[in-house]
Amino acid sequence: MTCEEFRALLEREGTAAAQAGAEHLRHCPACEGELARWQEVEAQLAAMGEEPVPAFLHARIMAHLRASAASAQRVPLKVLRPVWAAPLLLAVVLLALGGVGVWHLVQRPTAVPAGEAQSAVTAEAPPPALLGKGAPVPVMAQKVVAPKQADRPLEVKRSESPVPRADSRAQGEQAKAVARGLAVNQAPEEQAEVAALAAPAAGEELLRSGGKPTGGTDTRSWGSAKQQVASEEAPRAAQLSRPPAGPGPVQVRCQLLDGEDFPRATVWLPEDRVPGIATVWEVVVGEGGEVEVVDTTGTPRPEVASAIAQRLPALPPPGRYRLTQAPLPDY
Amino acid sequence: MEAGEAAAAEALEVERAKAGDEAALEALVRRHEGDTYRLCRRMLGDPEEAMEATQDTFLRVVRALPAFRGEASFRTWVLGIAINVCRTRLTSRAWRDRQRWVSLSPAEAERSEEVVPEPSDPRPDPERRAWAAELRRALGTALGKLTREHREVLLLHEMTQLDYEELARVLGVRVGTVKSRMARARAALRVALREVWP
Repeated sequence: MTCEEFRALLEREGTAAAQAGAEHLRHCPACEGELARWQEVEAQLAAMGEEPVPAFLHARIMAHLRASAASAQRVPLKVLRPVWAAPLLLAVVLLALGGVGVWHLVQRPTAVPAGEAQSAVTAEAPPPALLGKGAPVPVMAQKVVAPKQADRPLEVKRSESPVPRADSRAQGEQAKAVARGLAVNQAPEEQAEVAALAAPAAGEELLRSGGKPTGGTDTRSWGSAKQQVASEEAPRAAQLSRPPAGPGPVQVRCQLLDGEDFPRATVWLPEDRVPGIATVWEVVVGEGGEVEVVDTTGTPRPEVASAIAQRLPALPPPGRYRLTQAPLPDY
Repeated sequence: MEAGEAAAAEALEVERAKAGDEAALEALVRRHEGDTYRLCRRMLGDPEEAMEATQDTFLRVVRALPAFRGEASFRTWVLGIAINVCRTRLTSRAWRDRQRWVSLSPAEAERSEEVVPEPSDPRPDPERRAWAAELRRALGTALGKLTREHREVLLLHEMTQLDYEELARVLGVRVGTVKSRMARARAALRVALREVWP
């Protein structure tokens, strides 16, 4: 063993290397001195483990532990005591509900586009013309005579908005709607109906159960059912038209209802080509994809038919439908 | 008392402390507070900081006690918590702002010299004793120049006498890593002691 090897062994093993290098140490006083120094260092380091500690160390540690234990016990006594927890929770919930109600009351007369987005019934944005000042007259008119929630037909939901909103609050609410993917302000029963629309297999069971998740062999949760509906909704969403961008006549959102009053498509039409409030026009979709529209006086409206055919990416199945203005969301 | 009996007695005390026996907890604290304080003292280099770190360590010990399964010895477990407390303090912003070094100031080295008892020496050679005193002072300074990793492994092995397997548990690394880290720490210490070890 060379001196270099012995010193490497010393670094690797400490003074325990003395045994392995005993033969070398007998003939090398330098390495013997090196070993003695390391032994001294180790002895000094070990002596640090015997240093006296402050006399009050134990008392301070125990006082710290007791103080911490006492403060930890005060928290549940003051805040989390069950007697106070329930009223506290109730008060918070009531305050939150009150705040939402007041906000809706304040917003109701002026912010229809925002309300549309806030209701999250549909994330489809109105045309830019509706966002200008004074433009939403037809929409306000709709709102006055909007049918009651139980009577009005449902709308198919979208999960993205084609046009940016001018109203920042609406944007925020719209973003929430997008994040949720489905209607959030609807009762479970309504959600179930929408689910039935979008995905009959998933939705019919929810309809039967009144919008609540069912037990039995179907192990999907309500949330997972909604997710499935959202994924199955994709082809359905293709039947929603987008409002034309840019300047032009005011656009009104209309629906094609089937024989059971279910909306089979939503389409934005110019305000001069839509049925009046609470008015229904007949629409026939032929086998070849031709569209015919007849108004309440029996007059054919080919311009409306062509608008529908142009703006719907995919027509609903052949059959008879009714064209109406889409109801406003329930505030 | 044999080592095995002592370990069994301590395991009983741990169980009693888990059940809420304050006397058992106090006995455990009393048995391990010295090692913990000294380790913190050498890791942090400041007596007051070491005191706070020791308090924090035992607070964490009490909170984590229900989760202690006895896979390592109680002492090893406590020292592991102490190392973590020291690491947190060393890396905290407040700590860096204070810009303290470990035992770098002369006054600190002097205090260190005062409290360290001389190791028993069968040959009370005056020259050797002088060199030992110089070595103690230099060691205090040299430890402060080591990296945290090297200081941890040296102190735990040489000062608290943990073996490599216990060190691996405390530091959360493999035994091989402990050995290589120890070798690098010794080499670094050798360099840091150049002043007294030409």
